[in-house]
Amino acid sequence: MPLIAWRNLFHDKLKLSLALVGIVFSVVLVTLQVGLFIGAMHNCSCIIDRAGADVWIMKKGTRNLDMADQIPERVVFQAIPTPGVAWAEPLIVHFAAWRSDDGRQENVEVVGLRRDTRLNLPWQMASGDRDRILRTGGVIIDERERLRFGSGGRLLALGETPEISGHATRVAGFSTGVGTFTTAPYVFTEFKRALDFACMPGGSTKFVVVGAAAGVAPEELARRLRDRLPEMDVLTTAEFSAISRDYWLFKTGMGLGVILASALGFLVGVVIVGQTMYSATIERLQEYGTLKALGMGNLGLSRIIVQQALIAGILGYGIGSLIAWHMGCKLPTFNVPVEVPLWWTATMFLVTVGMCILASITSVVRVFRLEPAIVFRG
Amino acid sequence: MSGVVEQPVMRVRGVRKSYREGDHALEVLHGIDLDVCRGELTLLMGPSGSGKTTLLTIMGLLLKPTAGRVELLGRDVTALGEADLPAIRRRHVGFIFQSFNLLSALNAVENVEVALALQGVRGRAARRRAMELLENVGLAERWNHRPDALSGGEKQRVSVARALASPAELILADEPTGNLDSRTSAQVVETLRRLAHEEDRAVFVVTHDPGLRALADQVIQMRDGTVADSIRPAGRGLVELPAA
Ligand SMILES: Nc1ncnc2c1ncn2[C@@H]1O[C@H](COP(=O)(O)OP(=O)(O)O)[C@@H](O)[C@H]1O
Ligand SMILES: [Mg+2]
Repeated sequence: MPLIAWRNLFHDKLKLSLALVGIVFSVVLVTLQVGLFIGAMHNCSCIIDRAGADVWIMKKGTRNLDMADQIPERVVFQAIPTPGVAWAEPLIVHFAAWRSDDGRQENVEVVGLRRDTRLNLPWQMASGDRDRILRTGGVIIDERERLRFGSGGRLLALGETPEISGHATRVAGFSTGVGTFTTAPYVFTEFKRALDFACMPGGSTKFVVVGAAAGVAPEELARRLRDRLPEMDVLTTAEFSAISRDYWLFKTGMGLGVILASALGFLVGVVIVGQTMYSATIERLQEYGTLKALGMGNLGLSRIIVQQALIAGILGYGIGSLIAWHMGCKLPTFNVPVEVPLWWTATMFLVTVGMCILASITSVVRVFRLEPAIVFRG
Repeated sequence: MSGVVEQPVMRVRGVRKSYREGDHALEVLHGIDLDVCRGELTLLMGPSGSGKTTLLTIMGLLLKPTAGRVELLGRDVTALGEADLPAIRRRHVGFIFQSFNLLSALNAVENVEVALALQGVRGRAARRRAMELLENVGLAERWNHRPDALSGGEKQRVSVARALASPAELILADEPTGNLDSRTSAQVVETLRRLAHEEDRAVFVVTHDPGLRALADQVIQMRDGTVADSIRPAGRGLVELPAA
């Protein structure tokens, strides 16, 4: 009888509001925490995922993109003759110090790309033409960093001339959508310049990235390259991406922190909603007893209680997910790596339903235990 | 009535009830025997604490007696568990409470509809039937008021209408007029009497009001957990009850 659930719920608006606050709070918290996790997860592998390479060759034991040891550039020439290789090129990713025009220092990760690179990095430009910049010099940084990297309180502008590792350079373009996990933004530049910025000797690189010829599976290509380069780690893009994510999210405590926070958000929701529901149930014990006396079974009574929780849950989910969705859209512009994809918002619906069902358990148990004999005792 | 001996709707035999008080048991019913018949309004009277509510709760199949037997329409229901009892109550027993026990969030007609839904009547048919039942107790024009907007007498009439939503042969009322003034009380009891006589139900009412005796077909007097005496004021004579 949804009618009873509906009426009970809206009869006590204060309790309903309390339950809603609990649900909304919980939905927003869990959505954003997991959104943060999703965002971070993408950020810590976005360069790998979007570069457009099929196979990555690196020093043995490398566990992420950001902290690799150098390897000889000639690995490129060892890779190229391997059957199934369409192209191969070196790639540098290296931490470096950026000194702005006003003398402040920030950490960046220099990404060195060959002038004629086949890599799709950065994958989107906000201003400037990548190929031209790679030919004519200068660096590309993501537009979301303009506030942090600006000098004298102004946004970082094209044409500014920071120093990277003591080498003068020029801001020549802005990328968009390139996040970072390490808080040091990716700064794209030409390979030779990157060697300088990274203080690496000529003839060295960090990675050799390989494109597979049409019809060659990356796994197969990686296997062939492994045979040829036993002293290197050879990983497909999917493997490297997973390893890199695993490193940042779980080897550092960050991922567990986020998971813990979302679990706590969920729990807080269960407790607030459960508490409110329970006190509402206790208030109506006489009424539930009456329904029992009138011949409603435990199943029917539990249904009323769970329906109340679900109606509140759906309302709370509606409000909460709107807020979370809105924040998910707004926060990245403040450089918070939150990503709230539609599939996650939809999944949160099930999470909310689960939360509300969990929250009704104590009330259901109470009603199961209810002696209908109380109905004659005012 | 006719010469045919009709089976009572409820037969109570040797019912005892003890409540546990700490580590010893306190017996409040000491062996009750009584019959409740169709078409009759039975009043149960007695001082406070004499066990009337306890007896009514047992008769309503909401509480198990410690000893003795309860038969509903000839069937021994004493031993039935919570798996079977809701269905039996739903079908055969109607309740009216001193404090009305209406669902506070629902209006008058919805309160009746809930009882109808338990009988499997839903939707438009339920609304129609609920309005009829409210009309029956003279409350049709107040159908969309919630309990807190109704007077005591009106609330009790809603609960009478709710009790009538089922075809229950047995209607149990615990001091249904306890919270009402004497004029409203008389109206409610008159309605209950009509139920017994016109709808051929067995109506069993606990009351303190001696003025209602005249309306009853049977008056049972309780004292200290026993039936002290049982009379039929309307000239039907004293009914001998089997000894406990
Ligand atoms: N749940 C209970 N636990 C213990 N004692 C009870 C309980 N219910 C009633 N009693 C006791 O049983 C006796 C009869 O109570 P009750 O049936 O309510 O009488 P009445 O309705 O005639 O006033 C009283 O002494 C009361 O205190
Ligand atoms: Mg009583």
